[in-house]
Amino acid sequence: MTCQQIKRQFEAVSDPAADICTRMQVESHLSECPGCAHAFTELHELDESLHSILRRGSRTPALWNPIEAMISEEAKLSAPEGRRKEDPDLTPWQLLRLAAERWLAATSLSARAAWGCLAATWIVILLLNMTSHTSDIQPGTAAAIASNSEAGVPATRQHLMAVEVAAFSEPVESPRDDRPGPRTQLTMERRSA
Amino acid sequence: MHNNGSDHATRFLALLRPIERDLETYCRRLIWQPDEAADAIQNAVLRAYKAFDRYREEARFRAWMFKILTREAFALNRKHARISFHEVQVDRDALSGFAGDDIHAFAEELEAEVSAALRRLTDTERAVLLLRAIGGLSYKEIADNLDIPLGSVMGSLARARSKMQTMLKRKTCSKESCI
Repeated sequence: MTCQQIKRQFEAVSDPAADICTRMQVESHLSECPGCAHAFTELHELDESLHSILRRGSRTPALWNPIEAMISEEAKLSAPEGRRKEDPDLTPWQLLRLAAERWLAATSLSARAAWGCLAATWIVILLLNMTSHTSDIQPGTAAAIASNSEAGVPATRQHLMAVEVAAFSEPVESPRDDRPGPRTQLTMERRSA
Repeated sequence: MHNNGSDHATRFLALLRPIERDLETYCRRLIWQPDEAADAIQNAVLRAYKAFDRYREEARFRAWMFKILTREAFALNRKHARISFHEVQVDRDALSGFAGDDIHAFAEELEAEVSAALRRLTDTERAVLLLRAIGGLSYKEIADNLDIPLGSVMGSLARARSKMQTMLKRKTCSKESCI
């Protein structure tokens, strides 16, 4: 290697994780070439003095102590959240609440957007569920609910039965037969049994 | 579960404490507005704590923290226009009239000279020099830290060192000629 090539390798040799072969090549050249050895010593001395000045500084307790306290506080706050996350019996409403809490706790815009989307999705799912339940009750089933309430069947149970009846029954406006279809009849019999 | 949360924080703080001084020194030298150093450090540490789940053991914690802090400092620096030459010049003029017989005063003057010279480097040159000098990172870690190729790290470091040498020499020469 020429002196110019060796000087270009000075930077590589300054790296603590430098390639051992390059380091050995440079070191062997420096032991033979006084000019390069002098240039390398100058560079090394400049680095040492610059680094020693730049490294001068201190830890400010007024800055670090509140930061450390904040992290400890954050750890305490995150503990109950972790417990809830592992609970397998979370209802959709609890999940929605958790999402809202996470959204409020998130500092970055992207995290807020992500949690916001999750919360919005849950709201849509819940609303769709609610609307599908109410629309499932057909006008024709009101009479069945009335007759069941006379027989003492609880209202929620009646609602479920009504939904099931509506799902399995033939269309109400069918002109062929006013009687309930065979599947509806079967269900009604199963329910009354 | 509560123990897990506090263990997490304890582990994070145990890794953070030994490098707090270096992080602070690095940030104070890297940031343009000195009063924003505390904000940058606080934001970086909290960001690092939140991302600590994703921290991989094979990466050095020191290099990982310096990376987060560098990004925070660069983001704050981008908000401000580069400090004008005039402002640096005023500092240098004020320093030239300083009595230099006291060793502490001399050290302070030298420190101010180096800080002034440091401010005239580009963001990348300054960051590379500081990551090497204060962070003690390898070139590969610096390249990863700043998202630049390894060759650019060596180039930036050589340029930064050369500029610092020229600026400090010029100042020393001008002082000697004054005397």
